[in-house]
Amino acid sequence: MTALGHLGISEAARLLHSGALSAVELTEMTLRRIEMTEPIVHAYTCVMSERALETARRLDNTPWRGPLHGIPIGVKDLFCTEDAPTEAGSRILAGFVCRHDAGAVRRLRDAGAVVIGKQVMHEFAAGQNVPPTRNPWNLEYYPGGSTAGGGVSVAIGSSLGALGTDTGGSVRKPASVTGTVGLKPAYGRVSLHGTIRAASAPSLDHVGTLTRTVKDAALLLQAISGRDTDDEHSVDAVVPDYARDLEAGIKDCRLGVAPGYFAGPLLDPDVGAAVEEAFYMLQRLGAKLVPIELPSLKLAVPAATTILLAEMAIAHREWIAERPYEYGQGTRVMLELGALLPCAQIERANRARALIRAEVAETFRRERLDALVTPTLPCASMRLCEMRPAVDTASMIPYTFPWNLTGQPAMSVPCGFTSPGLPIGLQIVGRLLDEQTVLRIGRAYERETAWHEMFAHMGAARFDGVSD
Amino acid sequence: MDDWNRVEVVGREDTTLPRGREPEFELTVDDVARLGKLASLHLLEEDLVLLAEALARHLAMVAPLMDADLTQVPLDVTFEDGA
Repeated sequence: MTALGHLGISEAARLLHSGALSAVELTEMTLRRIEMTEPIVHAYTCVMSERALETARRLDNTPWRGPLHGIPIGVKDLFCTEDAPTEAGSRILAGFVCRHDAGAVRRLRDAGAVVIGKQVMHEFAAGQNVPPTRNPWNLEYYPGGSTAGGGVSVAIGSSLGALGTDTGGSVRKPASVTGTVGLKPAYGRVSLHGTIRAASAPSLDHVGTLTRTVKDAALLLQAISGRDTDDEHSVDAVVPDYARDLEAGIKDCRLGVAPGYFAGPLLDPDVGAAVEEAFYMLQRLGAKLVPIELPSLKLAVPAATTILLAEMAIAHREWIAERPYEYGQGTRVMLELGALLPCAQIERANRARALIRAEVAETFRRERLDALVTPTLPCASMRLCEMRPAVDTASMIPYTFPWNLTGQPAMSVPCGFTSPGLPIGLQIVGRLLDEQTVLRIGRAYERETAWHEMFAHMGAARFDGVSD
Repeated sequence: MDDWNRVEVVGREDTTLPRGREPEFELTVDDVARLGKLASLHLLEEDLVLLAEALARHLAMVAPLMDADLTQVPLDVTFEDGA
């Protein structure tokens, strides 16, 4: 049997379905893995051992519900769960327990998943503090965020998949720096109902997934997607069968590349080289690379940042006046900044968003693009001891942030390592509501490469004893 | 307050955010405190230096947005007719 730390959702599902493994056994193994790894990586805020085992026991005695039946999944600590506190990484919400599950969590449970714990995030997903979580590829390095625990837990096998949210890159960034697959589906595809509003900019926010493989991303997305009338942003669109065309390949796919924005002085040379190699691989697989220009993207970070700051500040106006000292200072300053922005700037940001959306849509149409491919981040991870969150977390997301403005699906897949051995991500950006093509391209690349089969060396050295 | 009254931040020096002109902003903590009053915010005194720096960085970063000619762009933030 594959060691647990190396087990993905699809392989575990096969074992569970065949009876070679029970949900209780898998849950117990995952809990042991958590127990051994948590003192080192700190991915969880709360582990729901008893409820998880109780659920697993019940699942072992019920008919198979599908590929998530009995699969242990972690969720970011901003998804409300009826059986554990939801604190969004902040003292403001210390001890807060909601009486209902978030929409995405409810769908996970309906699909038979075992919610194993709540995972560490930046305070209110703002990226202004340094979380306790460590990157298993090098414990001195940033694990990404704001879904910090999600990427790490998947990378070391203390969960088989994780739910996160992505307002500017908060799923794709941790995926890129932990060597996992991070999928931000199209805007509105997955319900935001039951997530903490104060940890969100609603017009930019997306629920997403962190998994070991693209196939696992398809399985997890399938379970949580679909219209939710409790979420005003939820899209009323048919959810396709994400697994159907997964293996269909990418012959004759037209993939846009835009070096005018996704290269240049911001781009780390190791990242640039790995992504260029990935482009060649996509070409060898039959795709056609189409050079494009997207000049309006120079407005993406200013516009998205302005919108994010303003939308977050609105949610915190009362708390910050009444309980300012319960925030970390960095988060508080960011929220104060958002409250000071002039209306004219916010209005210009929304016009810029419309401009970017129109230009991207027209380029996709004119060039008949199936997707756009870019580096996920301009750099790999950075040393925690040198990190200045107020500056550095923002500097990592110029390539991810535009797609929160446009609402297009975007996924990060592992595509190499820097010279010091830190993971690098390739980003695939699809047409609106077309996660299928994004997944198909990612799967075609994954099938021909071995990056997703490489495991955190620090983890392997230290965690061999819990590989089951 | 005099010791830290004047905060100078050069936009590009302290940020790697993309492109655009490179304006220099000088903001004092008094400027920021005054802005807070205008916005009916009670800003903590210990935040004013950091907030002045953050505001200066933000203003530098949004310079391309404020310079752009967006007068002909309609305000439309729906997603239905996107890419």
